Order: sequence, then C-alpha cells, then structure tokens
Amino acid sequence: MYAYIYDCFSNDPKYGKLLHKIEKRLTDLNLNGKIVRLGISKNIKVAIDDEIRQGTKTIVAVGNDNTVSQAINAIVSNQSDEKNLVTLGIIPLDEKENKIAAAFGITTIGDACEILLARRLESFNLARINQGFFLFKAILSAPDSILEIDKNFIIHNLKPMIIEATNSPHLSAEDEQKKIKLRIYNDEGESLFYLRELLIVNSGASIIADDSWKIKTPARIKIGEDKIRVIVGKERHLN
Amino acid sequence: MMFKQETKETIREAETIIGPSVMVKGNFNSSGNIVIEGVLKGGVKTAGHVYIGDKANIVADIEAKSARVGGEVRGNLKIEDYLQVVSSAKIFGDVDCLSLSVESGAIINGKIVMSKDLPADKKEVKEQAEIDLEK
Repeated sequence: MYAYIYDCFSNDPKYGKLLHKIEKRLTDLNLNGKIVRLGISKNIKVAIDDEIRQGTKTIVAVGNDNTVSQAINAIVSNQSDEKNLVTLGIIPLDEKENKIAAAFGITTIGDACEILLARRLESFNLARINQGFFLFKAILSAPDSILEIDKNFIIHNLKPMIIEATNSPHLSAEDEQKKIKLRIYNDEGESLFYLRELLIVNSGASIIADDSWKIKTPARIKIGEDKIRVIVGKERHLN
Repeated sequence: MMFKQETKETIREAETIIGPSVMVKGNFNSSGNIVIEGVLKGGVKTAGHVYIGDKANIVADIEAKSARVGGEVRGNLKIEDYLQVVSSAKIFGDVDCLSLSVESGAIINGKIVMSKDLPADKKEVKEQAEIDLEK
C-alpha cells in the first residue's frame, strides 16, 4: 500500500490543478493510495510514524527537497533492520527545489508517476548527523570552528571557511572507501580529508544538511549502517 | 633518475590535503599521499608521498615512503625512499632516508643517516651486490 504525503505548501491553491492531474495519472496507473495532507496539526514525522505503524510499506513524498529530507529522516528512524526497509517514492512538485529527486533520476512530475509504476528499487547509504540523517552534504559556513576527526586529530580553521561533509550514498557496505569526504575551503585554498567520524564544534552556528534542513552545533557526523530504499528513475546520477 | 620527483600537481590524487588556512593537531595516519600547506602539530605516518609546501609549518615527526620538503619542519624525518629538500626548506631534526637531494639555500640542522634501515628485500639485493663485487 502507498501513502502519499503532501507537504504543507501544496495546500496553496496554485497547486490544486497540478495535484488533481497527478492524482488522475496515479489512478490511471492503478497506483492509488492514502493521501495524507500535512498542515499545522500534522507534521511529516508524525504522519510517517502513523503510516508505518499501520503497515504502510511505501511512503511517497510529494513536495520538494525539504519534504524528501524529512521523509528520509522519519522513515529511517522507524526502520529496525535491513530486512524491514520501508520504500521511499518521490513526486517533485517544484522542479527548481528538487535536487534530491533529480539525483534519483526523477526530474518531472510526469516521469515521477511512471517511475513509481516501474518500481526500480535501490538502497543508499546515509550519513548520520546527531539524531538525524543526510544523503549528500552537510555544510557549515562560519569562522572559528573546531573539528575533531576520527578521535585522532583536531582541525582549527584559522580564517572564515566553508566546511563541507559529503556522504557517498552509493558505495557498498564492504567498500573500504565508504568514508565521508571533508572539504574545508575559501578563496585561499582547500583542505581535504576522508574520515568515518567528525565532530564539529562552533558557537551558535547551524549546519545545513542536504540543502534543506538545519542542525545546531555541536554536531557529530558519522558513517553508519543506515540505509534508505528509494524508487529511482533510470537516469539516476548518484556516486 | 632513480626516484621520481613529485610535484604538487603530480600528486593531485592526494588522499589528504592540509590547506594553507588550517591548523591540524594530532597524529595523522594515512596510506595515501598527503599535501601539507598549512600548520601541523603532532605526527604524520603514511605509506605514500608527503608534499610539504613552501609556507607550511610543521612541528611533527614524519614517516613516509617519499617526501618533498619546502617549508619549516621541526621534527625527525624517516623516509623510506627519496627525500627532496628544496631551497625554501628549514629542517630542525634528524633525517633518515635512502636517497637525498638538497637545493642550495635549504637549511638542515640535524643528523643525516642514509640506508640505515633498508627494507629486507633491498638489504638482500645490496648484500648480493657486495658478494658479486668480492667475486
């Protein structure tokens, strides 16, 4: 059974026609499911928790990058082991703010429905950041940060720099390269490290994960065993 | 030339880069190439090449397969193969390597030992060569 999670912003009347078109197409493809509209009284975490508790095995995030990121976090926090993975589908409503969907090969609303029907499944590694998860990048742009790497050494950035931790979502569990790539850069140059665990300490600054949600420092980022199973298009381009 | 001279460009595939605006404190172990352009305090150990930029400032013992030193190093260098010391280098510590080149202007304040701890296979080659010479 599918549960379609409509993000709050889709309640705007300007999306009415588009949602109607999507629903008609899903009916034509026999992909009907329960529609859950998010709003002030229902956030995405609560909605997905409820659906998974009721036995839903496929959650379709209808929205933008923020919707997909929050859906990933809610799904993974409900998964107990790899045998009971819940599948994530995506219907991108605003194509400009759907980089995650595009990386999964889902670029248009029309394609999204066909991709759900084809149900091509792939699992991707997630990186953990405190109690949350990210698929691609966590970025901090602030001076005076202290980074502790693999509990072995400490990095101080002497000047304002961008700190970028990149996950490798598509490497197998056995791959020794399954590490986080850490880039620290500004106009004067860059530093590069590959690591398994990183603690970022900075007074008051927030890290932006997957271009969509914020997390306060201190933040511990680490490679774990957490995965998300996604319905992807043929043209997915993840490393 | 027996040993390849690595430049910053030829080790683009560096596993680790310590850039000019960061300071690293602690022990740094790696299996790949390392570029150091910034400040490092602690220790470095790698099976690969270490490129130390002309403005780098290092207070650490360094162990590597090969190295190029351009900046200031306060610590001992234990290099398995080739050590290249360019004119801007200042080394305050002992150097142990198999092959060495030092440019005019470079400063080395320390003991230099060469071929002291040859790897087993190289020792055998050297001993065989000595036997052959005696014959």
